[in-house]
Formats: sequence, structure tokens, C-alpha cells
Amino acid sequence: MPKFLSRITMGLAGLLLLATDAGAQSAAPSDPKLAGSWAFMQQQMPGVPASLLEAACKEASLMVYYGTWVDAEEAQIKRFQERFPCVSVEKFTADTGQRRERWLAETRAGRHIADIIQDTDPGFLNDQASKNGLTEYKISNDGQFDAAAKKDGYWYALRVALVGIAWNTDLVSDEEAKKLSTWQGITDPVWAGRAAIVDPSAGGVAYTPWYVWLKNYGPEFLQKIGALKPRIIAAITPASAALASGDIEVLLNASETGLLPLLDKGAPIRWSLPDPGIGPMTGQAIAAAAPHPNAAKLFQEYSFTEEGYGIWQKLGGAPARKGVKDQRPVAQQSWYKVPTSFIPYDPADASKSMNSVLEEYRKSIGNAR
Amino acid sequence: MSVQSMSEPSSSAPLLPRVASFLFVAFLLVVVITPVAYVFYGSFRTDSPGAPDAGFTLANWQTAYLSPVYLDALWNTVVLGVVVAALSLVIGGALAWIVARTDTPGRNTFALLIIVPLMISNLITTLAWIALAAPNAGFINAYVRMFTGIRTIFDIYSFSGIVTVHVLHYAAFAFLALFAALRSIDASLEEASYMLGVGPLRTSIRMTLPLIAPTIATTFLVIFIFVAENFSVPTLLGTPVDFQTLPSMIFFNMAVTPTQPTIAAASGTVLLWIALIGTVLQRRMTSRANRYVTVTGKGSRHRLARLGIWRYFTCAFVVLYLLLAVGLPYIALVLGSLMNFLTPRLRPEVFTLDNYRTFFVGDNFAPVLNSLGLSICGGLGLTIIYVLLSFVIGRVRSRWAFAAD
Repeated sequence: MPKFLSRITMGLAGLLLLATDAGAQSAAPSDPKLAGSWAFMQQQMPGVPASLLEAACKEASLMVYYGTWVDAEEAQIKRFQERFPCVSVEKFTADTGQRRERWLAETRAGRHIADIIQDTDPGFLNDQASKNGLTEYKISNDGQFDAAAKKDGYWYALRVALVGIAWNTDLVSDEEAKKLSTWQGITDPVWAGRAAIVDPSAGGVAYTPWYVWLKNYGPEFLQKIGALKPRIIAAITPASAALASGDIEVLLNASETGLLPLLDKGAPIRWSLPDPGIGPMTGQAIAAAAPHPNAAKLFQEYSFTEEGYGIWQKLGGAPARKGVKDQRPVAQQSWYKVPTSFIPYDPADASKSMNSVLEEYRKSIGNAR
Repeated sequence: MSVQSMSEPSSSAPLLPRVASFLFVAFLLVVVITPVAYVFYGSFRTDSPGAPDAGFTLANWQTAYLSPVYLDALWNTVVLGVVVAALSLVIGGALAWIVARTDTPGRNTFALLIIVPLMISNLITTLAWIALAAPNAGFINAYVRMFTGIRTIFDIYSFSGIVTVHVLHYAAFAFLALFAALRSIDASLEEASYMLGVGPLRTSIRMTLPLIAPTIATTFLVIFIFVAENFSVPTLLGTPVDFQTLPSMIFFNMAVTPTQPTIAAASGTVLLWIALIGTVLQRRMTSRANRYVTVTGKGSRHRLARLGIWRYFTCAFVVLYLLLAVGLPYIALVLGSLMNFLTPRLRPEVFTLDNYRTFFVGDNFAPVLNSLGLSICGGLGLTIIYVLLSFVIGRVRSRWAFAAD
């Protein structure tokens, strides 16, 4: 009998909770101009109250700090503004290293400009979450992300940033390119004078392979890369452009972010994603001192809805949201193979080890930066 | 402003100009001294301003002044400055002499065209030269390779590449200074030399050159300082080959993970010494130059050197300079703007008008408007400030005016 009563009580409590939720969701905003936005929210942001929309509209603007995935971000922002015309979005884009340092410097100086920040290093985002640098906000689509693709209530992954080895197909034969199907292949002396690397300081996607290589293959691996006398390129975008033009033949730590737009434009490039792969998450979070906290929450919600995420993913990178099919045209190419497994690594340790990795890098490759 | 007014400030000026000069010095203190003082303060801190638990340290100065990496960067900065200043003077001087003092055909048109490189940001020139002379895919290297088999005739990612881009820019600056000096020399002196039977070359070396020597020296120093403090050219062209100058080190210390803003501040003080020493030397030379009363600032008619057949060579020299400093970079830029991606392998499918279509749409056009706004406001604001500054320094005899100077 007590068991039965307890079930009845739990059932009633559940119904009550459901009714409360439904009540919150159905409390439409008073301004009829927000009807369209509200309808979309009800459909794709279950449980998000109308008060968030009203507060966001009152703040009316938002600043997003984003990376070199310009096309993806701008497409998503454009659609967000169509869905929520009461919020205008300002944008700042730079390489991760520069973007991150700008945000940190602004925060230290007490000049809070950024509402939304993105970073290619999950370790950095986790660190900021632990130091109260990020706003704790659990999105309505939280359940769509695995533990590795989020830190509950702090950041959520926009993509898995796949690190690859890229080459110019006009200059590297198919036979030679076979050597590039494994990480060990990049140290082959055949690439001496033909290869380039992206400086590890450029951001998480550029840095993570150096950390993983050092951790898994030891300093000798870096020394072998150094022996190739690779050209050091400061960031992913110019490195990809140099590859497309044929100024370099092989890019040893390539990011799909730089390569995909060039491939779409017909550049003679290909890349391999060795298995096991290296794929750090690119996360998005709300700054703790965001000057427009409600607009930021609304944007954070939108970014991870089916629509917002889909728009971003189509141009931005491999999906990190559960059940999303990779919509990028490259995913349909026969030569394109996503790794079946990834080299495990601890993002926190990767962040903490940055100085020692850079020191080893300088010893093996060069003093630049 | 005379040397006398600099060395003998008096307090006998009327009250209003003295107050104006005081206010001006106060303004200069805020906009010049405050940031410099803040840099010094930051250079002695263990962490950037605003960081909790930061204390005082000498470690940043130790790193910036004594560590091999920074000493290398300082050495690179000085060598680059000296080489660029010297070459710019040689080329700019030759251009100035050709245009001002010879019967080279087209010299009046050249006088206008030679200063065009000064109107182009050297960041843009650098990007254009990367397109032209990147070792494997630069247009020049690719086509020379196609016709001669030589893999790379000129690598822009090198010390000589950095020097080339700088010299093409600053030769125009040297031209401007030396052209004005050559035009301002009292023509009767040279006439007298010719009448005494001295030839044009000997007259140039024995008389004209000493007369413009102060201009040469000050131009050298100004170019040296500009180059020592330039960041975009060595950063873009030097980083791939591990060649760093102080400004590029400072940029990376400030902008790239993990940042070292306090070391950047200490390195900034090294640059400050370079600029200060250069400025003091330049002022001394300018003061001495005032004694050369034959360089009057008044134009006078000069006898042009008749070069005969050689005038076509001098013409070709100017055309070559214009081709390298303006023609080729602009051709590369225009060509690049019409391509999907930069490549020397020209095929119909790489050409597009999309870059222009997107450039004029939405946010993409905003930088153009920003640049225009900045140019107009900055130009206007600076002109007003410098007119006032010149007035205070030149017309007001007070200690404040002396300080402002």
C-alpha cells in the first residue's frame, strides 16, 4: 500500500511539474511582434520561458567572439537575426590565440565586451568555468550532447575539429600521398623542404596535435619534423591558402576549417584524417560578465537547436551533436574518411602542458614566437 | 624654430599664450607620457595590469635585455633598419637626382609617380609581394621556373625579401626629402662651380652632396626608426623563416597564447630607447642643418645635367623602380582579387567576380567606411593638433613651449 501511495504521489508530482513547465512555455510574450520568435522557441527550445525572449529583446544587442569558421558563424547569425529580429548581433573574428587573449585582457581590465565566446581548446573552457569566467547556463537541448562534447551548463561543442594532413594534388602524387595516411608518415624525409606547419600558438586545433604527438610519440617525433625544415605559418587560414596556391606541398597539422572553403572553390587539395584521429572540440560559452546576459542565453540556446546547429554544421565542421548527419558536401566524397576512433587525451592536461609543449616545439622546430 | 629659441626659453611671453602652451603640454602629457609610463610600470610587474596577486620584478627586463632570443631580435632590428635606410637613401637619392637635376625624359610625371608607394600601406605591399615572390607559387618564381627551370629566383620569405619590400617603400620617402633639398639649393653656387670649369659629377660630389648631407643624415635616421618600429613586414615575411624583430616579438607576446604582456612591455622600452636616441640625433642634425643657409627652401632654376644617351638609362631606372614599387604589386593585387584562390596556375575556372560581389555586400563593406572615417577624422584631428603645436613651439616663448618641443 505505501508503495502504491508513493507511486501515486510521484505521478501527481510529475504531472504537476509537466503542467508547470507547460505553463511556463505557454506564457506567451505580451508583445505581439515577438509571436514569430516565440513560436520558433516553443518548437525548438523546449522549456525556455518567454521572459528570456523579452529580456533579450530589451537588451537588443549581442557581441559574438568567433573564430576563423566565418562562413558557418555568419550563416548562423544571419538566421538567428531572422528568427529574433529584436536582437542585433555584433561580431569579432580572429584566430583562437588572438581572440582568446583579447577576451582575457578585456576581462582583466574590467572592460566586458564579449557576450558569447568560442574556443578550440576545451581545456581552456573548462579552466574558465572553474574560475567563474563563464556563465552557468544549461541549454534546453543539453541532452543532445555527450559528456565529452560539453561541460554541463557552461559550454557546448559546435564541432569536432578534425586535424588532418593535407596536400596539394598538383604537386604530391597519389603514391606519395599514401604515406600521409598515418601520423608517422609525416616524418618521412621525402617531405623535407616541401612541408609546412601551423604554429601551435595559433589555437586549439593547431596546438592539440603537438600535444598529442609529444605525449604519444615522444620528443623524437618532433625532432624528425624539425629535420624536415618545415615552413612555420602563423595561422590556419594562411597555411591553407599557401597549400592551395602550391607554395607549400604538404601541411602537417591541417584544420578542415581552412581547407573546406578552398576545396569548395576548386583548389587542388586533399587531406587525410589518420585513424586513430585527433579531434578537439570547439566549444561555445557565455562570458561570466556578459554585458547582454539574456541575449547571450538566447543565442546560446539557438546555436544548439536543430536549426541553428544544422546551419552551423553544414559549413563549420564535423558534428558533435547526437544524431546529426554530417551535412557537409565533403562528407559525400569517396576519399573522405572520418576516423573511427580518436587518440584519447585530457583537455585539462593539454592546457596545463602548453608551456612545456611549446618549449619542446621551440627546441625541435624553431624559436619563432 | 631657431636653435636660440630652443636653448633659451624665457618667461616673458604674454599670459594667454603661456596658459595655452601650459594646457598643450598637459594634453601632451596625457596622450604621450601616460601610455609610456604605463608601459614602464607594466614592464616591472609579474603579471599584466589588473591581474590579482601581481607584484614587482626585474625578470622581464632581464629577459628583454639579456636573453639570447631578444638580443637576436634587437640585432635583427638594428641591422634591418641600417640596411634599409642606407639602400633607401641610395635609391631615393638617385631618383631625386634624376628627377631634379637631369634632363631625363618624363621627369615631371615621375616626380608625381615616385611618391605613390608612400600612399600604399606596406602591409598591402607585403601581401602583394607574397603573391609575386612566394618561393614556390609566387607569380614571378612560377613563370621564371616555367621558362628557365630555375626553381626559385627570389624568395620573399627571407631577410632580402623583407629589405626589398621596405626599400621599395622608403626609397620614395628618401626621394621626397632629397628632391626637396636638391630643389632648394641656391642655383648660383652650382653655376659658379660650372663657370670655374668644374664638371657636373665633380660639382655634385664636392658641392651638392655636402650641402644636402644634413638632409641625408636626418632622412637616414627617420627611415631607420620607421623600419625598426615596423611590425607588419617582418612579421609576415620573417616568421616563416624564424627571423624576428623586436616589434614582431612584441606582437606575438601580446596577441598569441600564452601571452607575455609584461615581457612585451619590457621589450617596448628597448624600442623606446631606439626611438628616443634617433629623435635626439635627428634634432641635433636638424639644428646644425639650419646653418646651411644655401638650402633655403626657396625654389630656384637649376641647370640640368645633360646626360645624352644615358638619359634613357636613367629613365629606365625610374621606370624599373615604379614597376617594382607600384606596377607589379598592383597587378598582383588586382589579379588576386579576381581569383577564387591565389595560384600561379591560371585556368579559366579560377577566375571569378565573387570577391567583388561579396565585398560590396553588408558587413564586408564596413571596413572601407571605417577606414574612410578614420582617415578623415584622424587627418583632420592631427592637422589641428600639429598646427597648434607648431604655433606654441614657434611663437610662444615660454618654458612650457620649450617642454612641448
